[in-house]
Amino acid sequence: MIRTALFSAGFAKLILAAAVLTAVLSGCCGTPHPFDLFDEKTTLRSGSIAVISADASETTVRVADNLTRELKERSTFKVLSQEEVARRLGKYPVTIKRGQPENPDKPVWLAKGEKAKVDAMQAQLKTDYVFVVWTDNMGRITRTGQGGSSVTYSIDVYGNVVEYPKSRAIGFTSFARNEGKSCCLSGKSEGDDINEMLKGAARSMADDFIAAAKAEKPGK
Amino acid sequence: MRHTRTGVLLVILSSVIAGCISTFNPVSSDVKFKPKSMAVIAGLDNEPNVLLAQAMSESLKKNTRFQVMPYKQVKQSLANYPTNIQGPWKSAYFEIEVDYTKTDMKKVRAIQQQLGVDYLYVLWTPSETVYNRKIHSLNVIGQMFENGKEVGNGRFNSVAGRTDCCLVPAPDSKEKKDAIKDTADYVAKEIGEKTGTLKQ
Repeated sequence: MIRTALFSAGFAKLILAAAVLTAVLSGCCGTPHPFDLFDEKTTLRSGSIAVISADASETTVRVADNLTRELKERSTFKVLSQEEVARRLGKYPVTIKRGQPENPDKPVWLAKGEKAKVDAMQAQLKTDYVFVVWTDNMGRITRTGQGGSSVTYSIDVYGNVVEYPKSRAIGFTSFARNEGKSCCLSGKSEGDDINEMLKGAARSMADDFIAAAKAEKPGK
Repeated sequence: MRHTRTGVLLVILSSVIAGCISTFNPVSSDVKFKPKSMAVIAGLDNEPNVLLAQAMSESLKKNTRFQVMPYKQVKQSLANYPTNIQGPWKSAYFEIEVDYTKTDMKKVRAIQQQLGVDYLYVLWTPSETVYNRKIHSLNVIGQMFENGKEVGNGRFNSVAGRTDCCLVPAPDSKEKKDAIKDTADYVAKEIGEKTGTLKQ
């Protein structure tokens, strides 16, 4: 009887651990969406685009910078550099608050009242598209087992692409990116591992955005 | 609340004992602090940074003899506040890799001049991290300036969440705010002690 109870408790723990692990590895947000259009029929014209970091945190700024580079290198869009974004806006980055979307299937992450902020920015940027990026929950998950312990870094990334002059959100980003710790084996620092994770996140977003926009640069 | 406070103190103390961080240190023993005017500002335009600057402003007023400019007055005196000031780090994720030469001193001097205070304490929160999805840590670095020259600096974390046990929920925004206030109180007292301005 006691053994059954112990087994049950142990089994329950195992199931719970497996569930937590699965949740962690698949990210917080269910199906990963590095970028998806709200409506597959939407056609993007290959005009100009600016990526906006929605806050001044190191992670959001880096993702915005990496995404800008990826789009500049691989897409047919005219991409404003982050320096140019800062120059045109004067004060950048500024906080654009993220809220709970009304429709979780087509999430517009902008908190109530924040859309006006993006519109005002676009008026200075004068681009056809604005890609707003948020990051959250940069995490370090340590797992200890009989074979030793391992560390995984993770980050949640959110985004919306707003099309102008219609001023309407046409797509979104929502996914978690993970990166295993490699620093002890390769001599890399923790910062290097996290930089890789942030680059990888931006690369995934660019992959999906370029595919959705059908805007791949020839030869890339 | 008491648990949060204990947790904050434990994390700060354990980090200090381990030699990882120092909440505040004068840059040299030659620096003599006087209980003159001071303003606290956020170095970055993000919500936790602003909350921390406000809390630190109140805590320094409560715990030290510095004549701390009310935070409301700071906001009114600076156009476009909060603004982003390049801070003293190479990278800032779980740890802040410090480089005090990176601070935008031109901006710091201009702000200090605008505010007309003897001491300016700038706090930056370049990253927020989560351990095992349960323990939230706001990573903070600060520099204190007297007439545009650095006189003190330090690093600390504002930690919310007591355990990473899977049954305990992650800290909510109220717990994070409480942690910021508790941390500000702790650090303000440290500053008071190290600058000889602690209220008796």
